[in-house]
Amino acid sequence: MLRELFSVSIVLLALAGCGGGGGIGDSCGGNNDCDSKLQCLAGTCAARCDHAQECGDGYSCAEDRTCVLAHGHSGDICKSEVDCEAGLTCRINGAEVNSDHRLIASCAAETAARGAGDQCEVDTDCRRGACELGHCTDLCQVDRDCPDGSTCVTIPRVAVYGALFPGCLPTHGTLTWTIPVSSPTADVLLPIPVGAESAELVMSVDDPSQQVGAKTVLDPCGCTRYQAPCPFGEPADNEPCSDLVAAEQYFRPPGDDDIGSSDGGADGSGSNANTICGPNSCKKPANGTFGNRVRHLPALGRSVLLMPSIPSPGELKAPGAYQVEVSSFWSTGAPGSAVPHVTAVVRLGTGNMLDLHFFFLDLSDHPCTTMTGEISLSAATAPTAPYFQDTFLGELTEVFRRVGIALPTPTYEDITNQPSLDALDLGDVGSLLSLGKYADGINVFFVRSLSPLGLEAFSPSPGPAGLARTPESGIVIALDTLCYRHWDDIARLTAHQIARYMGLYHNVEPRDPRQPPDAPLWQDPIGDSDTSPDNLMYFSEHPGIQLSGGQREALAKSAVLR
Amino acid sequence: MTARLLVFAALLCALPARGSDTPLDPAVREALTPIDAPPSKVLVDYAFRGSSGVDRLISLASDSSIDAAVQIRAIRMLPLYCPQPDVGCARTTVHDALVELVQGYLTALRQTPAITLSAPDLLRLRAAVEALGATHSAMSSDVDVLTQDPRALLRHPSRDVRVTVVRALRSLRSCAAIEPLRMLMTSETNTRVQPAIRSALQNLESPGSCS
Repeated sequence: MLRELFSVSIVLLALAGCGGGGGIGDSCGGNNDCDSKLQCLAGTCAARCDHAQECGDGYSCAEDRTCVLAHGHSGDICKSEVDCEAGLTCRINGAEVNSDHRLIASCAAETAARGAGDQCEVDTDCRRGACELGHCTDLCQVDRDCPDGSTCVTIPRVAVYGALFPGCLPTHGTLTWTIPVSSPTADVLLPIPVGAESAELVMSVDDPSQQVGAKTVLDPCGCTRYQAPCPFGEPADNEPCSDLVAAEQYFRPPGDDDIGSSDGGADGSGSNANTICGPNSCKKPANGTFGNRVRHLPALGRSVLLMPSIPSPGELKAPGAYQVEVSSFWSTGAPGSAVPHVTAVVRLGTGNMLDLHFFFLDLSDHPCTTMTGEISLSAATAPTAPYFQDTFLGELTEVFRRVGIALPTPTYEDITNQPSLDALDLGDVGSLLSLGKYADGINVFFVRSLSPLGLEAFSPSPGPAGLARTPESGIVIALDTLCYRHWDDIARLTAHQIARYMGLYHNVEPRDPRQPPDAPLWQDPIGDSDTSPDNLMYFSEHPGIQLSGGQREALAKSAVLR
Repeated sequence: MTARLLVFAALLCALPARGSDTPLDPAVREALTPIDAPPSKVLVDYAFRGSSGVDRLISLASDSSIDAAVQIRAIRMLPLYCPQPDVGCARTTVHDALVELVQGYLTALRQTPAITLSAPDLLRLRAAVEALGATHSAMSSDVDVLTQDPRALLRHPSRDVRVTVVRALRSLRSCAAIEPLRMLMTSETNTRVQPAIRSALQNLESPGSCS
């Protein structure tokens, strides 16, 4: 500790000039001996603090920005890491909560393990004994208790079924971790801290003939947010399952009286006793049917559950542990035998920068080279080719600029050692997307063609945002489309696929003839989405690039943004 | 038959470089051009409003005056109209229409060897070849259609065409494709095409995979 303080003092000495009182590094007996902008720390004038970390272990940073020595001894009740003297940590005792419904902690000896912010799997991985959202977490009371770039937020503790405690988490960014599952069907807890804008579970099974996904999602109050459509879930209204019944269940949005949060007064603060559940917490629509707030379908080999699907007030604003029943399924919808692998990704804060990573399969001698200036499109030619930079990237940039998302300079790479993927069969798309090595942003693969021919692009929907090298880590654009379309069409197509990857659905689906004639169209449940072909998310080829406010909000929550 | 092929060949020579302005029912266009997935048979039939889906589709598949995006999808979704798509649909309306379509392109190439197919036409040809493979007909006569004039397809200057033909030969599930593929393996020099041939041979030579 002394060495830390010495280092801090030396740095501060170098940075600051002398004031009216003692300057940085001067000896002092109290704060009054130092310049008013400084403090007396360990007998030396030093800069005032913004975060406790600057003061060293065993100190807090007080409201007046001075470092205050902690006095918490081993066994004393504490509320923050900075309450305990050096060498001790503020460790959660167990499941007991105080009158604010927060977990009780006390000072205890640190262990020789990983520090705050490091990745972890269990509590014992962490020096300070709390592994949450896959990262070692310090207890806190205010943001000053946390390192720079972190915020003190309310976090649900999975080990005690989502009971809350205040801890430090990064203010912006994504947290990714694996959730161990040991049986084909299992309940997992997805902790949603205050400040989370979106959360996803990426589920996969090793047996590609089995499907995997979520069967139910309960919010922290135990209210149902999602039930898998039949045949994965129970047939509703005693109807036998059919394609139409399954589609009706999948597309059924919540009723107007059922959209709000089910929590008992979440306000998003780190100190409020939010997520208090009462007997009337779960709002039930009057007609007895339940509308899914989450769009999700189990799928062969891999699927993503992304929340929220509908950016409405209250979604994910209440901290707590969402209980997700994860399962593998046979093709009949019956529970499968494969044990799912589950990875969680939580997005903290919104983002507005979308990193694109362009990968070019071997496009030499492509039949549509009239649209590429008779040269082969590649990582070497794309950065300077006007049709790519001005037309394609220019149009793509404009589409996303309109929704407040900037596209920084993309990366360009060739993939020349995968000849079997140059002209890609849809069945092999996972092999290509597994080459998507960037976890941030979106990997965009340009292939010669996509079979069945006529298919112009592919995107998982939603994609596993924040995860690299999975069979869904990217989107595919088929450049044989250039044989009959232009680069601005390709840009719009690419924008559509990117938006799907980020979680948007079609604004409207074509009417299924099996639907009753008077049944409403299957629409995106986002309230202000219309059914216009001018919308970027229209289901068929149209030149529209419009997005509604709700669609914009949904995009801004995506974990692919930074 | 010959007369129809000649007409087809004549049409082919007159193909526009991009889709023309032939009016098409917007509902049909939308059903055939979904942006994220191949067209759905249920929705396409619905868009045809009661008329026989397969006949209308064959008509669109043969009509090079419509938008290439629509025609290519129409060609490629024909195998969905096979009575039993997974089993194979030899000698059905769909199968015969696809054979005729491929032969139409081949005839056009033979009769006017000087012409080079435009990029959209190459794509149409590939869609027809791929769709024929997707009928899984297991008919040696289909193998003959794709291989009898090696210069037309198996030695076509476009490697995309060659890969498409190789994959179609595999998809046909006819053991008659093994020999021409073996011969092709000895002559094909393009390292981007060779893996497709190897994969097709490996597949067809495994027990029970062809008849």
